[in-house]
Amino acid sequence: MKHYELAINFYKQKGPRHDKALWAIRQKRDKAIKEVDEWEELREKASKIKDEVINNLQDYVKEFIKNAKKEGIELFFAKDAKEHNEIVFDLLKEINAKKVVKSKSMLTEECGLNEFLEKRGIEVIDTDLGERIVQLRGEKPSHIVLPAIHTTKEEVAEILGESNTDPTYLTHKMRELLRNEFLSADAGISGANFLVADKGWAVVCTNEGNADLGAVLPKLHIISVGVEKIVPSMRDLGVFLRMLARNATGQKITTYTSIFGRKENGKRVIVLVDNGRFERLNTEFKETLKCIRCSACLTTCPVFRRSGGHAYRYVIPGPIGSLLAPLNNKEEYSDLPFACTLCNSCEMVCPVKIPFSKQLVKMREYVTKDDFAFKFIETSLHSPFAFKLFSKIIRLTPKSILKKALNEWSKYKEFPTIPPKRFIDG
Amino acid sequence: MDEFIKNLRLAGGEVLEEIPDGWYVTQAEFGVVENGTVWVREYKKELFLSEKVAVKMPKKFVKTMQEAMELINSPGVFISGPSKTADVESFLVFGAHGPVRFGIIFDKGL
Amino acid sequence: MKIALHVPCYINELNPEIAKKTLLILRHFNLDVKVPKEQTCCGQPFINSGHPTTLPQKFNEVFKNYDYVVSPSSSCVSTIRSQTLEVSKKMFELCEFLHDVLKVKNIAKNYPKKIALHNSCHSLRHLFEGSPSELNIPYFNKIKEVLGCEIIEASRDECCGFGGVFSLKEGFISYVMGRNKLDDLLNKNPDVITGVDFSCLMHLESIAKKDGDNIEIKHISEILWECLDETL
Ligand code: SF4
Repeated sequence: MKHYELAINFYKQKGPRHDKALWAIRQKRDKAIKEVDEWEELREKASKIKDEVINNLQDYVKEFIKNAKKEGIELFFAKDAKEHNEIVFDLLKEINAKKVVKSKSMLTEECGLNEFLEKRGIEVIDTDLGERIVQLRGEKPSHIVLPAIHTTKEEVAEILGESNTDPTYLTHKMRELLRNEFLSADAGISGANFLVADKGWAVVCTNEGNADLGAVLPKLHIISVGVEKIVPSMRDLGVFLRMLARNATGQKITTYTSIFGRKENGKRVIVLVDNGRFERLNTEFKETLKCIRCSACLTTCPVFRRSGGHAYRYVIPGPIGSLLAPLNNKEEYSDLPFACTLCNSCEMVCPVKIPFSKQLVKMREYVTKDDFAFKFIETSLHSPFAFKLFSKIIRLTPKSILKKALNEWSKYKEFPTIPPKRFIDG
Repeated sequence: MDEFIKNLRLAGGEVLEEIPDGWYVTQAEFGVVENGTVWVREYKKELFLSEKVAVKMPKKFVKTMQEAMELINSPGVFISGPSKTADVESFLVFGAHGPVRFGIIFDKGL
Repeated sequence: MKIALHVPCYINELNPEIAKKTLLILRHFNLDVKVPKEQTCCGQPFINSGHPTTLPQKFNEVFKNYDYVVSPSSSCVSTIRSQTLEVSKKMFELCEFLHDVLKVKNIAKNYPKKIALHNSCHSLRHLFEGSPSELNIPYFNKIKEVLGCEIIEASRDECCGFGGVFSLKEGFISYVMGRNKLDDLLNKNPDVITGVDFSCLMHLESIAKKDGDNIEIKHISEILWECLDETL
């Protein structure tokens, strides 16, 4: 099913509540960013830093690897999803791991790591509460920061087999269940929000503390992360840390901002993943690599808020997903760049100033096949005379036929009346 | 300092007068005014496993995270209140995985 | 000052009155306004549906020798402005032109009806005729200044769901967004809803008609001309 169909289903069930919840977050976000007088300058800075990184990505990757090794972190570079999964599997096999606790990482979702490991007999427990909810429901996250925003407390109670639907009760229930998993896990896997090139450190921002439990309890901590997450220095990191949480949820900062170097009681490994990123640098969509996954463009998107994230069918939904998904599979996701009104709200909230309206229009061109009818009309419209002819034909066409031709409009809205005379009718 | 405390409380943190029984206690190096967060260098599992965590800290502050970065020369963790989540219907709950309560105690003197 | 009126093709076809009123407004300010007969379409429908087009270049040929090109449609203006053509910097949306170039304000100061202004996305987040709520910049709204009367705005400055090709691909969500926008505005009891983009207004009107809402919806040029005409 395509976006427009899934969107109808979702909206009819949950749309208004979902829209309201996300709009409330958008308003919290607005309030939080308006407390920072230099917000717009920070966006400018963040955008420049990311430009610098993606324009010199190879060098920064080298620098990061060198410094991370010096710091005592083991490093791997994976060309693609398969290589990433195999590296992680080998690391786990080495220690005979049966169970891993994973905290939120869009990259492991992108690589399909859970399925890969489970097929090979390793149990993967998602520990972010929202991710655990969707994992138990047999779903995928519908939002990159709020994975279970599409669920109700009743649904959460149901999967836990509880009759009490109080959010505090349910949260603490999940905490209890997951605490045992943490204590018995053989390894922890997490993503990283930033990698600091000149220090060789990885930075993870979370509210729940699940990534930290996964990093500190088991002997092995694996960080799976895309190469584009590098920032040059701590000074640059400061810019992003001021923006990330404010823009994502309206918090001034996440509860934990953990800076990881060498692991004291075991081994820390970073798997740097390419998976098409270097290739993307040579396309007109390279600016999508600036994304810090703050999720603000999802939350603000008026279509996303009403259609829900699952209508996008890709690990990263919403505006940024509509740019990433077709690069991954043009045929499958060709509808996504059109699930958009070009309202440009995404571009306005984006902390790294990805030029969404330009990119989305380019993406529409990328997924659209040459169409003879369009070409013919386009050519004709260069001439006012041909335009007039079209206009005549339309005025002579019975309204019922026009209505049928524009069915998606007529189904829900009155058809406009066409006046007999034009203004320029030369 | 008032602004720091205001932001610490907004994030669910508390200002403690003395160390209560049963709290895990550690040391923070400084606080960040703009968000009420504290920098803890010692990264220990008790920070996350304990129900209640208190940090002792000097009255030393920087205004923003950008300034905070200048002071950091080793790994560690910034902490801002108790662990939290809003994953069940956007309802804020403390004690998601880590501590349910988090407090600071200013070092005596100065 | 050589000025050209751009008549957006959809306005030419579906609501020619808007073009006429825009012309009357500009002439009211004693401007020498030409209406180039060779103009057709700026290319927006093709660009936004992913089809290659050279219509913006054709547009440039028609308009490049004027000092200003004024258009009663912010989406056409932003289409041309996002290209790098000679005409790109010369093109203005009507209210933008009144505000920035002619520096006239308060035209509708004594307008007897309660006006609700729909800040369309192209006006707000592409042309910056007002301050989008997403940004941390001081509040302003040029259209409100040009009108100069008490103005009702929606509580959310989000999209009304028209989106051109979007309304033909995602009719349902397009409808829902329009419905939400209408409810937001109607909640504040306006007598009339207006805006600088007839496309959004047409979309809202189609929903209002189908759902049986009793509300007058008209393009800003009609309100402005009503005011100017009376003072003549
Ligand atoms: S594209 Fe921009 S707004 Fe969207 S998630 Fe990435 S950084 Fe955030």
